[in-house]
Formats: sequence, C-alpha cells, structure tokens
Amino acid sequence: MCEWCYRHGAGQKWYLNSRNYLRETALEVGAHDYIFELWKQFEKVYLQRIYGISMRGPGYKFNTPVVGGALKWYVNSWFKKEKPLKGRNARRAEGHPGQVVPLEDAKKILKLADPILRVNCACRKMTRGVNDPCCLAFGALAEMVPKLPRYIPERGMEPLHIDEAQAFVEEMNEAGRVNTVWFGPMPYIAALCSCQQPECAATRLRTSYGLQFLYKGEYVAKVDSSKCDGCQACASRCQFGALTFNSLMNRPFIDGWKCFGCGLCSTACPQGAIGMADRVSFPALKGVW
Amino acid sequence: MKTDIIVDYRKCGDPRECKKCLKVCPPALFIMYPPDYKSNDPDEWRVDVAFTDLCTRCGDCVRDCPRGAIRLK
Repeated sequence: MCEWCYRHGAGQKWYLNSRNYLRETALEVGAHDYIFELWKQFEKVYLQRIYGISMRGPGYKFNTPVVGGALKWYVNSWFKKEKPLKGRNARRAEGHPGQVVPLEDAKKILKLADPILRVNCACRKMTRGVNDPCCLAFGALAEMVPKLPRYIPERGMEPLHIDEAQAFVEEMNEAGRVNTVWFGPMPYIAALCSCQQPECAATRLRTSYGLQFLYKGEYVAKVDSSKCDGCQACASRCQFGALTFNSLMNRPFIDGWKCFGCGLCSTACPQGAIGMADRVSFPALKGVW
Repeated sequence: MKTDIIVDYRKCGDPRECKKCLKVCPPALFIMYPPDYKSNDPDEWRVDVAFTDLCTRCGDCVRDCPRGAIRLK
C-alpha cells in the first residue's frame, strides 16, 4: 500500500476512499480556488521561473552536480505538500500529484465521483493546440469549468452518466491511453485523465526528469507464460518502455522495475495472459513508486 | 550542447490559425498560451518553448514555419 493510501485511504486505496470525493473535503482544502488558479494559468505553471528554476530547459539544471539534486528534491517537495490545507500555491502544483490506475480501478473511481464532466485536455490544448475532450473532471473542478471557457468542449458541457463515463474510459484504454487519477489538491480528488506521451505534462516530468509528479500504479503487470500464445498484441502498448517482445521465449518480457501498472498490455491481451498483481506482493517493488 | 529555441514574435503574429510548430515537433516542446491570464477568454495567444533540453535539433520547426520565425541556438 502506498504512502497516500495510509494517509488518505481509510484502509483501502486512496482513490477508492469516498471521503476524498466529497464536497466537504473540497471546501476543507479550498479546492475551488486552487483549481481555478491552476487551470486559469495552466501554461504559466510550465513557463514560470521560481528561484531560477524554469521548465524551459530543466534538464540542464537538474544535471548540475549536487545543486541539481537539491533542486530536484525541492521541486519534488511541491507536489507532495499537504499543508496548509487551504492556500497551497497552485502555480507550483503544490499537492497536485497523480497516480496511474488500471482500467478496472478507473471504473471504480467513476462510481464514486459526481458530477462527471468531460473537458478539453489542458496538456494537449497547450502543447498541440488541439481541443481533445478526454479529461473527466469531478466535483469542484466540474463546478469551476464554466469559468474557464478554453476547456469547455466545442459540443458544450454535459455531465456524463456513470455508464457513459465507464464506456468512455474503456474507449480511451483501447486507444492506448493511460488512465491517471489526480489530487487537486491533496486529499481531494478532482480528475481522471487519459494520458499519453509526449503531450502529457505529468508523464514527461516523470519519465524524462524523474520528478514524482505522477506515481506508479498500485499494480505490476505479470505474464502467465502458460496462457501466452505469442501473438504480440501487447507489444506496442507500453508507453513506459517496460514491455518488449522476447523472440527467444516467444512471449513478452515485462521489466517490473519500469512497469507503471497501467494495465494497457493486460487489456490488449486476447488470451488474458497478462495479469495485474498487487505491487506489494513483490517484496522488491513494494517501495517503488 | 545546450539548445535554445527562439521565436520571433514580430514575425509569428497570432499562432491560433497556424499551429504548425506545435503539430510538427516530435517531442511536443512548443506551447501555445494566452500571456494575459487576467482575462479568462483571452484574445491574444503566443507560442513559446518548454523543455528545450529534450530537443534533438531535428530542425522540423524551422523548416515548417511559414513565416521563418523560429531559430535554433
């Protein structure tokens, strides 16, 4: 179980604790103001400069010996910040980390959230100039969307019924997008996104710079070689470089250390040969987030 | 080697109709944003670049910009 589950999960996974979706929780953490500030200035969060750190070329700074490591530690501390409950700096994404979830858990999340509004993906809008309504906004975020016109889809805003929302995440999963769930801010849960490299801001910070803006999921994919028939349907699904097809053994090789537990390989397998095992069931991986 | 991608705003103008650099960049380093965040539905947008350390200097943006506004340094 991850650190967030201990603190915000009430005995289960943090994103399955219904308390984290309640309006009271949103009001307690000042989610409305936080979300408005963050989404209004979404691109500025990317481009701002704080104490000499900007995202224009952060890799150069992070690679500086000693100083780079300290900077990385400092930036990481923003995402994990839990206090104060109200008034955390939205422009530093304080308390706004996310986690990868497999399709099954994404569907459970949709049962807890209300209302569910489909909005334009802020990352894709920013990096490709494309309106792609694929982010599902919950509660406080859904309430703030009318004040943020550039994220309202061209078809207009319409709350999704649970069944529609579940069918939609299934469609996203099939298209090869990774489901991720987001604090906004911790412990309030504001959104379920359908992320893909390279447009996704969070995935980039994690995979290119090792910043813990996006946590690995609660699961790790594992191949059951007795069921695998070597069809390679899984081979093109992994975005994290964890799965390669091994021609000698005629089955995929999944590097558990790199696996983010998104389950895209598992949902692509016609034989049901790739299972999602609990991360904590691997003694060496239980601390790898 | 440090890479900087410079956009000449006098040549670029309003990027909302063009967006060629955003679409052509393989690692999606370009960003289109409204500089004025006070207004919620901004009229003015501009193109900027983030994460230049991921740039491979492939030159696609320089080649495809119809106004020659992008320069690699």
